[in-house]
Amino acid sequence: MSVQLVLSAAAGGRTEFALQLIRETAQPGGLSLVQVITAGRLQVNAFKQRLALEGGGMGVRVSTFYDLYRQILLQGGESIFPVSEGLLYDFIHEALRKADNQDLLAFYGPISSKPGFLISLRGRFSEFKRALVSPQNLLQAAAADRGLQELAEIYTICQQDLQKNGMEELDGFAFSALELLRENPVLFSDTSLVIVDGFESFSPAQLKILQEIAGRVPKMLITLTGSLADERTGTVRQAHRRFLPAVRDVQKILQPEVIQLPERQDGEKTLLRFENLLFSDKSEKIPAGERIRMFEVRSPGHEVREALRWIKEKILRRGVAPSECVLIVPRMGLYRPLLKAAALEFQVPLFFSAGEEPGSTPAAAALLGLLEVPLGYPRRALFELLRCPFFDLQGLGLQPGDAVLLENICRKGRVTGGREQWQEAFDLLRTEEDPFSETEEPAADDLFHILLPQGSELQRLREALEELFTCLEIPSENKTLTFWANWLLTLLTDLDFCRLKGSPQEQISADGSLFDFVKELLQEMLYSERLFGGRELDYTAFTVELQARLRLSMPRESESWRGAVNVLDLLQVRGLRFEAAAVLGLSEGVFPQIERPDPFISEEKRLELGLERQMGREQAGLFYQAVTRADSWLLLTRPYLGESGEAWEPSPYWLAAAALLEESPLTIHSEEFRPLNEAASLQEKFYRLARWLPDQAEKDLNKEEKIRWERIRAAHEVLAQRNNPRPEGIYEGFPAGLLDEMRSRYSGKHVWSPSRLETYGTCPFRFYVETALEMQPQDLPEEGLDAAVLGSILHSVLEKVFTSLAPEERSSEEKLLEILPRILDWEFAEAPRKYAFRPSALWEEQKREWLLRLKNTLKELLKASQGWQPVYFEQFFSPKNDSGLVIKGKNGEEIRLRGVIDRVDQDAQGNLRVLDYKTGSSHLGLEDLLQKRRLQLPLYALAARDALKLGEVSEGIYWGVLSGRAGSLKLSKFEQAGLRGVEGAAAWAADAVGEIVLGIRTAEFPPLPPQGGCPAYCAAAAWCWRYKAEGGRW
Amino acid sequence: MNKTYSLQGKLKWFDELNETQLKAVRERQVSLVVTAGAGCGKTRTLVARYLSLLGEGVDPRAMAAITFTEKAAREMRSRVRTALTELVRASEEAEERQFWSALEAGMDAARIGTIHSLCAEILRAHPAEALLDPCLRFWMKDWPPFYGLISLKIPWSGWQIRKT
Repeated sequence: MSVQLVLSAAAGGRTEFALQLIRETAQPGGLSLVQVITAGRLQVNAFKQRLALEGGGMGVRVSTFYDLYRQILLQGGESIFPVSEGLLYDFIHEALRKADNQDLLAFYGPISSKPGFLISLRGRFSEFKRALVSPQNLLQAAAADRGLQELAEIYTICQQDLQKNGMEELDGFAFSALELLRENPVLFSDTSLVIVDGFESFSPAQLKILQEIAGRVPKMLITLTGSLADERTGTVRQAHRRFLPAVRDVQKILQPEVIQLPERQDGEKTLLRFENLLFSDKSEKIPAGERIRMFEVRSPGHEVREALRWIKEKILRRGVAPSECVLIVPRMGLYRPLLKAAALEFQVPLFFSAGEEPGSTPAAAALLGLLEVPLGYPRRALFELLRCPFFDLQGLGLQPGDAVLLENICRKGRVTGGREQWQEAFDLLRTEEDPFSETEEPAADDLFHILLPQGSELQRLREALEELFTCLEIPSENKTLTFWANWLLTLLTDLDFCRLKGSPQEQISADGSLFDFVKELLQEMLYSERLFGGRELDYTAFTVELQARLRLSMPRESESWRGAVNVLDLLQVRGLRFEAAAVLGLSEGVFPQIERPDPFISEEKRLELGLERQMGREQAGLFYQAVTRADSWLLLTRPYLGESGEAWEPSPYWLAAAALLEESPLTIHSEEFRPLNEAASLQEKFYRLARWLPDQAEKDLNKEEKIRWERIRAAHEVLAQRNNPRPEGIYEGFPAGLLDEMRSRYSGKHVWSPSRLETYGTCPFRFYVETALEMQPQDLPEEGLDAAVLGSILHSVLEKVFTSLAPEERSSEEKLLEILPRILDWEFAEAPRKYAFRPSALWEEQKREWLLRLKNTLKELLKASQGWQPVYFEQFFSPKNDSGLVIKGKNGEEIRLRGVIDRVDQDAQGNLRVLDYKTGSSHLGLEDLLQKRRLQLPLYALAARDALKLGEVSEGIYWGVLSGRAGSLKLSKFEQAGLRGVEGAAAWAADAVGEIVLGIRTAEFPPLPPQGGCPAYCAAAAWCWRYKAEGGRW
Repeated sequence: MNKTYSLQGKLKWFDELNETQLKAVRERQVSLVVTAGAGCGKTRTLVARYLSLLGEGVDPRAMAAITFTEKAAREMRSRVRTALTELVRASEEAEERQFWSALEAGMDAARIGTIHSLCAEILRAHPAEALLDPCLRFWMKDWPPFYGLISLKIPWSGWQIRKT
């Protein structure tokens, strides 16, 4: 038996040394085997590749320690099943339950049901197994530590249950493998050489296994990065400190012959010198040239773009294969989404070795969304299912694009959710020959009308949707897990879950496997039911359990994909070599990461038990390991600005690297000029042309790109106009091309309603969007009624209350309050049908509240009407019945108006008072009239006198129905610019109308947010850049 | 008694501290409040005091440096790291070099942060006592520092703290 420990600097030729030994040992046709053990799946593949390049790997077995454990168990005839992740949680959960029942959890009991505790236990138990800490060892080590004692109790129960069922997690296989090795001296007798390569540390279990094997094979070679401590000073180079504990452990347990390899001479010189000088005492500088680059950029988002651009350049211009490039990231969670987005834009395929957590993939989100649908078929969840690319509903008769048709049916039928509402909507459409006939003729190009299906198409959609609902039907009573698992499997099969088309390769592999993963989860649930007893649960409890399992599931390691650039974290990259490597995130707080102590086991106890360190992990060694992965080109990047734009300090490793290079790091500002030939995507090319070289577009773009370029130019024009503090141009309310159209449409023949004119007075752009362009947001119907409908109902009630009474009874509070509830009941009963809305759950409560408000308003109105008698209600004035109001415009032209006066009162002298009901109580003052936001009242006064010939008007007020009080504007008190009283107010309003109509006819519609902000219901609210919400919210 | 190491003569900026700053750096008997205008060297004094405590053998984990913002915390950690790197270079004896060098690596675990992060760390380290889910990442991010009071067992924070 001979054990050799080969030490060298990182990338110092240890694997080459091992390969040489294999070549010498593994004779073709020989019977003896060579066993190679490496750190992970990626390292196994890399080693096999190198073996293949060296002439083949006949007789060489390459595996991880986990493979080795299984191999030993197999050869020893031991059958232990690896427990799946989900089932392991069930075992721990069950152990917690048992421990709690036995009153063992005085300390951890209160948090034992928290998911994070379960996750923490799962991690600790694996660590115990890697350190060969048995439940008995842990109990002994716990001594007076109550928390650790309880962990030991739970660990004991969990292990007993696992053993009883013949199961174990992979880390726990070490116990049995070791036992088998000790019992069976024949194992490994056919092996002539064992190579252990690519590790930076060993767990106690791994060391014990190696110790057992070492005694029965002629030769064992272990490689590690690093060097022995200086004999004189006892110190070791900072770059190698991380690996020193492993060197010492191997020396202590295996007493190897130590071989220190000399410095490599055959690599790329700059990179070799960089390795040699990093974290050393030498104060030399290296001319890095193109070999080592350092980029400081604004944010992690910019970092990934620069790193991918650098890699793309290596692939396209230097001929480096994508799989020979690596991006090394310290925080996968932070960089993964940024990398995915940039890679898609740059068209660089990426391979993430650590898969995404299954619960966080888009497919998992789709699955969770699907599970919401059977709970009352809520509209949002249903439409998400209809549009979801992870389901194929064609088997049910639903075609791609049907979601649009169904959305229109939903709008027409005011569907807010539920199967019955859909049936009502289909019935409504079937009975209506032409759904628009009641209101107006549809325009030939009315998209909504075109997309509202009828006849056989309507029937097809109805049947298909019914079939989908039937698939999604769930029993209301409790069922076993077996039932629910089968139900979900059938559903997912029917909906063709995860049959993806047109997604990026990586996404297909990540999402496409989710169905298999869900199947495994469901099988786990069934198995768990068998192991720990059956129980019946309702649908909601089932979905909660499934969600929890999805979220607890761990990412899976993928095999390398040869056509893609690798994205690895700092630990995965050890032992691998690449032509080009980029290390990201070299700023303070990202890398090195802040270390935190284990909340369950003190650092001292961890070291005593042989667990991995949580503190003092010598992260400099990780950096050293990462930067030595490059054979030809190395890039280091860091963000220099924090989230809120503050300076972000560099990592100490960044400073250490920068101190070695003659060239200073390159600071890349996103606003700096960048040459066109460095653009890594078409988007970047367009950006650079637009930003710096617009004149070059003609020369540098092909025909297809020119079309896109024109669109960008148009977008630029929109942007420039929006950014201009003063509204100007066709996109900001001055559509010069519509001048003739506006003049013709709003000529002297046009009949105006005062509320439309008020819209212009409030904000010309809102008038332009809502009236001139007839644009309205396509909101999906909601339960309940909106403010406009409420106003109509309240107006109608008040009118009916007064007109139902004889004139002499209209001033009697008793009579008014007596009749009010009856009218209200009738109006409310009719309202949902009349105004086409679905009452919300608050409907009955709202009715009660409105009754109280209306009672109050009637009482207050009577008080405010002393001396006035209501005589006219809902008075229409319109040119159609020769009662239109005509006023003179700015250029002497006639302006015709129509409208409805809510109520006209008369006093004993025959003077009239005009009343206009308003639901709300704001914007009812003088200022609103002066600002042209409220013109109705004086115009109605004018109409009462001149159009309807009712008599002289001496007063006019707005009445807030819900507030039960008059607005502050009283026409009789009007006084402005020499104009006084009702007459003066009417003249002011007429002048304002003239100005407004002139503005409309000259096509001037600038966005001018009114004082106090814009209303939420403005049709341009979602996209007008000058929109300022009422109350100061943007 | 552990050997202590002075900063004098090893850090140029330390040698340039004025008398008042040095008094704040060296005072050990009483609690101190240092007030000065912007740019007058408060943070420099704090860093010097932190380093001098390290030089006296105080474990970085036994000190808490609390800053108002994350940015200030990063800046302070970075300044301490840079100073430690300089101290490693400036130390002539191997033993002293090793001392500063070990502290350099230990800075990854130093308690330098905002009051939020200190509270979070206390809660994270004692989930059972605080009756909280040990995987704090699920909920800690946007918590106001008020909730850190539970770790200090202040009754009016409204939380039930279990006696351990």
